[in-house]
Amino acid sequence: MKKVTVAIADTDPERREKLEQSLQGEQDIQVLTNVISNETEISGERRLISRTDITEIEDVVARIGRLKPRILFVNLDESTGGFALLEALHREYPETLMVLLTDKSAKEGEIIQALAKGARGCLDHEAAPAYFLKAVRVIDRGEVWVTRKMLGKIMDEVLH
Amino acid sequence: MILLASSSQENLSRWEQAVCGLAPVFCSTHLDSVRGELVRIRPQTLLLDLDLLKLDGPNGISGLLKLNPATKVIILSSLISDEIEWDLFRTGIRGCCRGDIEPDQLKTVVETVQQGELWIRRALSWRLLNEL
Repeated sequence: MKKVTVAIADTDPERREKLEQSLQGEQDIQVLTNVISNETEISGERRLISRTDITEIEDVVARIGRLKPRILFVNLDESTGGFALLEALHREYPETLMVLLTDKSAKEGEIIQALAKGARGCLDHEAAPAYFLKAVRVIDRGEVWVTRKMLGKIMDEVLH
Repeated sequence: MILLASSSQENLSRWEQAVCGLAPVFCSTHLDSVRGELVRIRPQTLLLDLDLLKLDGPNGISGLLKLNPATKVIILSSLISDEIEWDLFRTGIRGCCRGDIEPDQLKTVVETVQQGELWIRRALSWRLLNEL
């Protein structure tokens, strides 16, 4: 059986490990690690976009290029480059399907923007592990993982 | 208010059974009647048999939606192609499901759509993202 390769781009090591653990142990899923370099991991202080951030985006993109995961969970924060990272990945590696990791503070507009920039789904960090497994399988077969509520908002945006 | 529209009395009875507890229900068996009721009672939701709509040609749904844009339209049909179903969504319907759907499930569809959500098959939803 061909395994679905999955990687996680999240600068919070604790959250990343938790998600990696919940995806491991499945016969049809292979978790790829080391997407985020240790230097990129969150330092606890917010930073402005700088030359360093651009380099970090390039670093993540290069790592994804080497790993070539089928599915990539991406946490959008300043330290992973936000939308710039999504755009770069979608442009360079369209065969990698990105899933946005969100939390309760995520705004609908930001999620829609991320979906417009190539993400194929979004999922809350706090979602049950079963949802992550299901999302991987659904997105792998070419479908999307978005709530019906969000689909309604997207349709409103498309039609108006 | 919920408006049910089909030329089949059997469909109307089954759908009415599904949604009777949600809101006052009205039924139409002809498109002219549907048009009149959309203006008169301004239903929150319209459950529309695709076979009835076909009588009005391909632009039928757009014409109905213009009569009361606030009405959320759910199409009930036999098996249709992805292309036809997606075209219906692009005209502004909020849900699509099989006409022989179980009443309990139809109730869920109506409740979902009334909450502003979209009842669309996952297999079609990628088309929506591609439109962004």
